[in-house]
Amino acid sequence: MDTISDNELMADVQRGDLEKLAVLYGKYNRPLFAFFYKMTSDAQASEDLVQNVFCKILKYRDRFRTDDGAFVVWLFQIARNARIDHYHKNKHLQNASEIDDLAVPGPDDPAGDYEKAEKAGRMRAALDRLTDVQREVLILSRFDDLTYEEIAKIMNCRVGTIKARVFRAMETLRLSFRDQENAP
Amino acid sequence: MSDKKKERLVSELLKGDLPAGEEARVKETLGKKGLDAGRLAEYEHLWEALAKADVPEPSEAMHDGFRAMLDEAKKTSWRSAAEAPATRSPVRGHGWNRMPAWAFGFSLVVIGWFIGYQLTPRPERGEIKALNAQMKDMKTAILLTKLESPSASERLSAVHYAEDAAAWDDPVRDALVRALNRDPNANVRLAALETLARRTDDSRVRDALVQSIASQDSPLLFLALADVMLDLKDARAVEPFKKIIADPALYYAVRQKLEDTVRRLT
Repeated sequence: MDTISDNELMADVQRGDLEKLAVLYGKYNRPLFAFFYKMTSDAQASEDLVQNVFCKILKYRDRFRTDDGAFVVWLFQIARNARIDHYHKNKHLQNASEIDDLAVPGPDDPAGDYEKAEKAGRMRAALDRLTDVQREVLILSRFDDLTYEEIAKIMNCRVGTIKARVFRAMETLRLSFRDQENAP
Repeated sequence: MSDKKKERLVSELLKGDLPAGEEARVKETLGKKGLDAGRLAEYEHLWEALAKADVPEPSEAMHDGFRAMLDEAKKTSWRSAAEAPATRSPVRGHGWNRMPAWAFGFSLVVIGWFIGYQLTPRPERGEIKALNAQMKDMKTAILLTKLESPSASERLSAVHYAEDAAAWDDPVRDALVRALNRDPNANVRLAALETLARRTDDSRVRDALVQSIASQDSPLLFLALADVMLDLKDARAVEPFKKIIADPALYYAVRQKLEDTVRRLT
């Protein structure tokens, strides 16, 4: 990810060239949506959260400091806080939306789609068994553009803590998959 | 090898952070420390599966919502104080120079309207009035329906739609006040506030804005309402702001802003 370019675009936004935010939106709306969707399994809430993030970027654009690091770190810090706020406001809705949008193949779908859907369902079930923090660290780690150092900044902890969380989350995920395989 | 080192190496291996050529050596070391190749392969398989997890495409409504927000932001109210002189002064500077042409154009419009009004037969004038009324009712109905939509993007675009003078009436005003006080999405509440803040010549809007301070729980709304109250110089906002300031969990920057607002209003 071109950090200098992102930071320059954000500097332009700060100088009043708001159209440059559309460029950043074009680049990051999909990864942000994917982050929220993987965390919530709720497409509508994820769209609202993406919009919420860009609204905050606009509102607080003067607070971004290029010497504090990459734009993407600031972006995901805002995203993380937005999701936590959303979680606290909608605690009662969490369970209701967990199975929303899981792919269920129709009768005409080829067998491959069943297998794919089944795998997706198993992955979702396994992810749901992780703690919120474990799920978050794994999802962030799978964005190729984010390093462990950047994830540590986003989650406000040390790099060593992030690596330990990744390992433990992977182990929980592995055991969860095994449980599903052994289930009758 | 300590557990911490093992955890670090596995995480770096999965992320591809190890130096070139180190991977095989690290796998061998991990194997000797009880982490066999099969288990590592399971981690790697799951790691790949995580990246491939199906995610739907976001809808066009999300993109439309962003565009509506950006267009709104380009209007004056979202500009920071630092930007305002640079972006507004050229307009002000040329305004007086263009005055004669501007006044002439305006005069033509007024004269044209007067002649047209006098020449239009009365029955047609009645039909036009009826059509205008129907159009206004339709705009109001669309707006109210969109404001009730479960999608925040839809509700946001409805609030922006309400800025259209033709759609503005009592039901629209009441719906925007409801959105300001009750909408679950802070962006929609902010947009409603900004639209209402342009209608403060209506005393009912001013009353509603003061009353809404107590309904808010978002720092963004506190800050925006503080700005509006300073513009209005409405001292009725002091008491509700004091109650918010009394909350020990309030963000420091928000507290400072509200304390400053209270000081300037009293």
